[in-house]
Amino acid sequence: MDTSRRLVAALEREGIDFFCGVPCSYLRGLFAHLEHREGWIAAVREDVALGLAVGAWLGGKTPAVLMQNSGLGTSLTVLLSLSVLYRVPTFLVTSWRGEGGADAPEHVAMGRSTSDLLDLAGIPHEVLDPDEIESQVAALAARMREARTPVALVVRKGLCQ
Amino acid sequence: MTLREAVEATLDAIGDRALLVCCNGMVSRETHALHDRPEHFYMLGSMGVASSIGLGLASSRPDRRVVVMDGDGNVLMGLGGLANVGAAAPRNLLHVVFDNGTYGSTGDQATVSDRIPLEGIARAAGYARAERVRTLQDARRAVAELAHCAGPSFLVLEVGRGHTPGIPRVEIEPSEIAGRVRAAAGSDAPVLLNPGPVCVSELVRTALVGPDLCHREPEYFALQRRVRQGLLRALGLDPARHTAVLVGGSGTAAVEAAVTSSVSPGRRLLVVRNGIYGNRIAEMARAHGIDVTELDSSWTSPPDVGELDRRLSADHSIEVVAVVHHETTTGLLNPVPDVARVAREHGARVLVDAVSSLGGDPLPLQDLPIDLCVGTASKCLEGLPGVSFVVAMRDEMARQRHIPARSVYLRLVTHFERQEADDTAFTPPIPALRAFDAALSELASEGLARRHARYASRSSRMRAGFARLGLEPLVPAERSSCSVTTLRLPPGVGYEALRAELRVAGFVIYAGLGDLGRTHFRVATMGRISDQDVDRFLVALDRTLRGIAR
Repeated sequence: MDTSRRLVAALEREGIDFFCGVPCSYLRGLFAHLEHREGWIAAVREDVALGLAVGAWLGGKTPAVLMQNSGLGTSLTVLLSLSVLYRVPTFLVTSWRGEGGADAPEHVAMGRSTSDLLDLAGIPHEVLDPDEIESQVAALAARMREARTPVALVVRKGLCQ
Repeated sequence: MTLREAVEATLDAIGDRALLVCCNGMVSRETHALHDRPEHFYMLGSMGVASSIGLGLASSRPDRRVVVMDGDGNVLMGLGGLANVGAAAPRNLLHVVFDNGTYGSTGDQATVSDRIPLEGIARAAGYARAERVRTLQDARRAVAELAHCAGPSFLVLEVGRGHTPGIPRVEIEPSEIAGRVRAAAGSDAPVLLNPGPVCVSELVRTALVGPDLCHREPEYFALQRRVRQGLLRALGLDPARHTAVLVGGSGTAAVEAAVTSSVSPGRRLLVVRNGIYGNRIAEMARAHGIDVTELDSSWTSPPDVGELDRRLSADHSIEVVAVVHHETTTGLLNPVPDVARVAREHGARVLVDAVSSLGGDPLPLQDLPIDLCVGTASKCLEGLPGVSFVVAMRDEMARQRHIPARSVYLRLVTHFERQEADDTAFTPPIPALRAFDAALSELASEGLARRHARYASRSSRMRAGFARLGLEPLVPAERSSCSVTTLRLPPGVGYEALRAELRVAGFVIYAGLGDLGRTHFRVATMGRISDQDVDRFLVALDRTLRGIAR
């Protein structure tokens, strides 16, 4: 099974039942699996996606939000003053454009800051290891449920394309 | 109109059940100060995404009305969110915008809403309805109207600048705001996978509460008539041949009424026994001094109908044959048509306990010689506990008139005669009857055949999942009901740990009965559960079993 399919299956196994997001080329494989899923919402912006996730959780779902790491910038206010402040379990899957500086110039600064940004926001996160998908997702999801907090899985180039 | 007046008019018109998302700033503050309810989600920051939260909530809870209370500055900041609302088109969403042309909490700086008609943007974005009103009177009318029609709807209320002086901030801890909305929405309520009481529809739940009423007045008799007639109609029975007798109490009460009212002094009852509920019928009869004989088979096998034939040939004192249609003990379905035909050939009366099967598994009462068929509201008929019934043949009720009473409350013919005369023998469970009335009208619109198909499809979906997880069912598929599955606990998994973990995940399962308690557990697919509930449960079960095994 390819990495994208395994990741979606692992998320579903952890009870994630609401998916939305804004695309990134690094996450193309995930979108291919999720776009036609019942209930999928193609959010117009990353902060909208986080808002949808909050509403879905209030309605009894367990949400996941997919986005490019640049979207962390677009949605920072909502991430901090909604998802984190209201302690809404949200499983973020973000790409890691700009990792190591070897990418288009607009991605380099955010690529350098992605991990620090999540740390500063107090969001537990992991970089996806294709050999440990199920256990990483299970551990993050357990943390998300138990601490009632957003968590993030960061996806490197090539794994889910 | 002032912002406060507009907020108050909106709150009044949307009713108590709506879930509310209030944008940050003065809208949240005014709402909180006027009337705080756990259904209100007050935003403290995150300007611009109120409609997105509303959309997430409305699409995950299509059974509830969701109202977003927004401001013009908020809508303008999050215009993109309107496109997502229009594209998803949730019918249960009403988006109210208080437009005062200013950013209120930062000092009344102007927005551009005086030049940009927000309702036009909403219409273009795909909202089903969009209007603007300027007076308080129109606001009341428009909110009341839009709150009850299919959306998504968008309503701009033009309000004056400013807000109530000294209006306090919302001081509730944000995580508590979120938690209480989730709880008030019933999103924390577990999915019941026990064999009744079951999850019911919103219509049934809300029907519980009604005006005060006396059970000796015409409005109660109308309710009682509707329920009795509704039952016969739902089951496709002719009122000239059958009647429905209501009994206040659990299914057991109605079974006991049928058992103790149907056997004449000096005659015997034969009980087909292959589970706890068959055994219970025998216990009831003995407790009332009725002579009982049992036809036993194992908990996973149907009775030997040939043996029944021989027993009835040999013993003419057997007056009534009782059989449980669906042994909830295991999920075993008994061959009621065969039992009933053989019993009738010998002139015996037939009593069927269909408490956990009516509505879930087909039982063609119109074609079978079944004199007494006992059911309850709170299982596959999807009402609430408290009321049960016996569907009886009219000639059986005439016969019972001559059998001396063994009980006062449980004498079936007493209930029958009083109910036939538009009266009631004892104080009835009025709220449960109201809910049952609603449940029966839902059954009438669904149709019994479609209800059976729904149960069959739900249980197959569940059982296919069990097979994927390698869980072993106790009863073979061809003898199983469409609602209960008994499964062996995998090695190393205790029932209590499994139950507790699944409860945290939002599901209620049930223990095995009797000796099966240590080795098995039960999962029911009765009531208002969706395919998504089944899928989510299977995911949670898989995760839980792996976790416990680890």
